Amino acid sequence: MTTALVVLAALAVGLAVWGWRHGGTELAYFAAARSAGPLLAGLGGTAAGLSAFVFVGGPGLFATLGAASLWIILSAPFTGSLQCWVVGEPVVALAEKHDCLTVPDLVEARFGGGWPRGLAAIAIALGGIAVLAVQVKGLAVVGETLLGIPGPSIAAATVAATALYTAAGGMRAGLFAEAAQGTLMAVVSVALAVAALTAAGGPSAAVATFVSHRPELLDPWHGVGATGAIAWFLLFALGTCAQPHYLQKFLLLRSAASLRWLPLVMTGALVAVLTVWVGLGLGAGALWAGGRLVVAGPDDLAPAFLARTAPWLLVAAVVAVLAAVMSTAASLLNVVAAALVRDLPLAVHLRLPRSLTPARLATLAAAAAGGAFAVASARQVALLGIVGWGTFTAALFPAVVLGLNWPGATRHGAVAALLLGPATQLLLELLHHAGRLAPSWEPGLAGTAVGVLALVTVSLLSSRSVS
Amino acid sequence: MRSFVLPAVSTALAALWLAAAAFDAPAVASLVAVAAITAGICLAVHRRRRHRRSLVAVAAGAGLAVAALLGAELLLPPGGPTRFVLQLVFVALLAPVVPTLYAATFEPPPDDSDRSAG
Repeated sequence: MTTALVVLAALAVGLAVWGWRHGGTELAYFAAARSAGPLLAGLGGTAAGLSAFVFVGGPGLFATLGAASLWIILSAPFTGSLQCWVVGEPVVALAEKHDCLTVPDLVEARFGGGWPRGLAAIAIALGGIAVLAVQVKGLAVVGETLLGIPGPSIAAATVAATALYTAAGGMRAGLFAEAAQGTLMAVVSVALAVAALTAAGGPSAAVATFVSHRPELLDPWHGVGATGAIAWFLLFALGTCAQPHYLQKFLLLRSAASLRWLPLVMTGALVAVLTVWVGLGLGAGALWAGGRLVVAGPDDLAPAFLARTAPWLLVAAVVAVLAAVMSTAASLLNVVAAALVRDLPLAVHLRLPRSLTPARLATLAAAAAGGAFAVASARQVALLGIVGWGTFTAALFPAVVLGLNWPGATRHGAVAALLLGPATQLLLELLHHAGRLAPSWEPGLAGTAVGVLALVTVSLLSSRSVS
Repeated sequence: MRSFVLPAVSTALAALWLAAAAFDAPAVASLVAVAAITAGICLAVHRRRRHRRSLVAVAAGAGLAVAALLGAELLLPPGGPTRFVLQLVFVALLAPVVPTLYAATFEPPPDDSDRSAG
């Protein structure tokens, strides 16, 4: 295990040096010099989107909610293609026309500068730090259970290594790392799923254990109700079109033709990685339900199972979790840094510095903020992940998805949606946290719906007043 | 067409979703899910020339698949693993099909070029 960690640290340092040499321009730092084809962007995009949420939170959520948790991942066959149909094609066209490097650049290209760019940047900075916190929290759980190292130590070391190469080389360094990490995650996920199901006596035996010991976990609506479960399906199907670290990958593409095979790469990698959610959830969950595995809590299911597997699989799993965390963190650090030192200053008409030093410092500051948020939050890893995903969806879906596809969307409509969508989501999150919200209300999706209504209504009213 | 249909459909779906959440109505929630997936795919129809009808057919097929899954999950009697297995079959069947259909119906813009910079 020590050897694997030393190799990972050496790779991070090497990547930082390479990135420092090749990521010296804004185009290279924020958009990887538009060097990505479908394979790099697809593997990198999948790795960036999948994180500790899948490896630690997913199996844990399966152990708590069973089949109901799968509604989060049931949209997987659609998400890669839907992203390209809904936003990928217009984003690539707009980026080519206006030379966009970031998501707020796209928002400005469509709605003008000032408020739309600024609000998009604020949403990305805040949501990004929340999702970064998920990575830190997931790592802390894995580190404590598997490595016997205090959680904060392993989390701090991994985030520091990621921040090192991301700060040095931006997405120029991050893209290659993410593609390699995505490949590793896919291979290890399948191996872990097979190992867990084998340990449980095979898929049929695992299902039979649930039927006899925890039949409620095979109910697709258990714990959240049918409306709440369908809300998750929709939130994760539509939300993929509004995650800035997913949208960023379209800005890295070398040409629109790269889009043709992008969904196939993304879906293949996504489904391979998600086997860990189902396989580990079902296999290790069956062991737990049958009393053959002692588990302290849902987030400890994956680590508890891994602790009793073959040593090589344990090492592979730890490396895969680190890869998952590092890939997501790298993309988020880059989009948060861009939001802080490029998009927000441009929104208030400040001149941008010519050097990348502020972006590099902002990357380090974002990493520290993510760590602090993780320490301050007591929520389960998967639930923290849903909050971050919901914030991005509520804030960006109306302005990006409707804005890029409906010529009638106006600047005022976009500003209204960028304000009301996340405000509704955060208000409902507070009520949810206080136990005063019915399960049928999914805060992120409700915020998205309010944002859509605001965008359409205000756009129609403002275009009438102009005409 | 696009200037009228898209805001109308979006508004209807957003309002229906809020109603589904407020009244905890799974049937309405299912309707929104089916319509949202279908409408999302249809957004690309105006960017196609040769594959417009094919893409509409893909959108209809995707909507039918989601409707079949949600309908079965809501209507089948509780108990046993059938509904759980249906979820897995849904993913296993559609995961290779949907992106393949995307590739088959994709059309790059006529002025597409390589933009990479080193």
